[in-house]
Amino acid sequence: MNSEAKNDSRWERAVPVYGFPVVTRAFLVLVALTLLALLLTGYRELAGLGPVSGMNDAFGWGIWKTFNVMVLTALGSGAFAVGIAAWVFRRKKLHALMRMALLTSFLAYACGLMLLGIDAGKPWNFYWIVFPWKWNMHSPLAEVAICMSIYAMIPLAVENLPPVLERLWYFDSRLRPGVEKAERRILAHRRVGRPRPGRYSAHRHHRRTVRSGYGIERGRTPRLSQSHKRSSDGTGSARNFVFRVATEAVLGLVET
Amino acid sequence: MAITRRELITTIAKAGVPAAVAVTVGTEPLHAETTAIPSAAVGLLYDATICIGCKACVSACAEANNTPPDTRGDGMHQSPSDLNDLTRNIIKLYKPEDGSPASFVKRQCMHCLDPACAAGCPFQALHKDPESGIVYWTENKCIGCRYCTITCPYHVPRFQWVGYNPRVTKCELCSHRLEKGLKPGCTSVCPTGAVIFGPRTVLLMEAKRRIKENPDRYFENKVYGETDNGGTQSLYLSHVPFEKLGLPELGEESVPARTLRWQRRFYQYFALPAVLYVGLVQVIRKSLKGHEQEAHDREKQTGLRAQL
Repeated sequence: MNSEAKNDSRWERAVPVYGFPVVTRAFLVLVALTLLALLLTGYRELAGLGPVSGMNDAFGWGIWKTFNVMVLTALGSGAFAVGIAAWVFRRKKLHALMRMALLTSFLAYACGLMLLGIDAGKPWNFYWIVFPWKWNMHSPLAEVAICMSIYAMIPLAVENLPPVLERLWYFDSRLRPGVEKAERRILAHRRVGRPRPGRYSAHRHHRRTVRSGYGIERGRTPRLSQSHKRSSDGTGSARNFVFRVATEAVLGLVET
Repeated sequence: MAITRRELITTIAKAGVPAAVAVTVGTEPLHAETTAIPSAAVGLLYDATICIGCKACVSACAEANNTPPDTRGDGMHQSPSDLNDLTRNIIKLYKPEDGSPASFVKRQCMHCLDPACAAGCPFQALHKDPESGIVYWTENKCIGCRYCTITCPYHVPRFQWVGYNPRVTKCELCSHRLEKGLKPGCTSVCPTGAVIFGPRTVLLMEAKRRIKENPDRYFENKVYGETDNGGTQSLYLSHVPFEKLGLPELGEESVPARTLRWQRRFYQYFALPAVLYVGLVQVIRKSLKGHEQEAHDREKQTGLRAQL
């Protein structure tokens, strides 16, 4: 198709979808499973590793450490793999997957770290990890623990911030008036100091485009149910809006 | 337009291979490859040909280290079947079915000159004393990961599987008794002198003297631990193959040195990762060109916010 050839030269972009139901039956089943796991974790912390995990002197790690380190970090490397494919090998289609991949990775790494804490016999001694001179860099396990925690806490957490902040900013912001006030103050201060040259500024362009494009008025706290009424879509309900956005995302018709 | 795999790999290889060669060739040997024997290395010499298997050392060890008897089976006192979280020292019997010579063996920590447990321990809970060479376990550094139990080629450190505050149990050569000027528990009670305590050099001389006096008595006329696994401070003499007694053939290179050579070279001075990282950043910077402008154009067209 003609449009497909056109797509190849452009980065594919996903569109955020808001307003879908969170508490579904599957969600509740998973919550129940999590609660069961927490109960078992509590039992493990009190009784020790042997009775819960089935490990003994012959099988010092059992399947558990292997699962934590090899399965969860492998799942968690999805963002890295997709990112390399998209950004280094320029598979522009995959760009739309980045946010999902980053979230999956963060969850896998966070689970892996939690499980390492449960798997360790004396997890309260993990505080040594903040003193680099106490690390034993001969130890592959130390490298795994250090790299996992740094990777999960800094790059993955920071990369997952934009969706959260966007949501806060565009749909549920109580911070927005305060931030805008501070921003205006800073900008005013800078304008007095020295006027900016009339170059194209991506930041200002972004502000103009986004704010006008969303039909969101300045100084108000927009929510999905209100903003859709002002949007140019002119459709009836919030659900309809979400459905339309989702359909557009799926069909890749965003550029029409 | 799109970068090919070949292009990327050759770019990285052009910079990375010379750097790797330079780092590997131009650096001095690693610490683990030149293990020094501690100045006052003490150890044990066990002679399997003298041992009568009375197990006095097992109970003396438990007494010296103040461990309760192992009554976990049926609540009755019994000798443990293997090293465990209450047993630092054990006597086992090797008795082949074909009637060839049998032998007792005493198993406890070997106090390797280059201990694998200390190399594997993430936060230095296991460390080798630089003077005496005793491998100690420190309670408040241990995270209970059980890596020591996995890496030890002799399978010596044992984890406590029951209880909220587990510990790792291994022979520490009764260091609390050494401080008082006493010998370790096991050597103080041995009725035949099958296990003796002393400086490693003296024990090695004694072992070689025994081999010289009885040239046909010992297996391969070899002192196990002189060079095995980089050298150990617990030395063994035996008339049966050492492998049958649970002392595997490990070669002269220690277990950590074997892996460390490659593991450290890849990461030395962070040179190779840095080369790889710089290469990737260059490629990504190229990919980024026009990306933001494109996003804004799309936002204008669709009225929907484009993701980064």
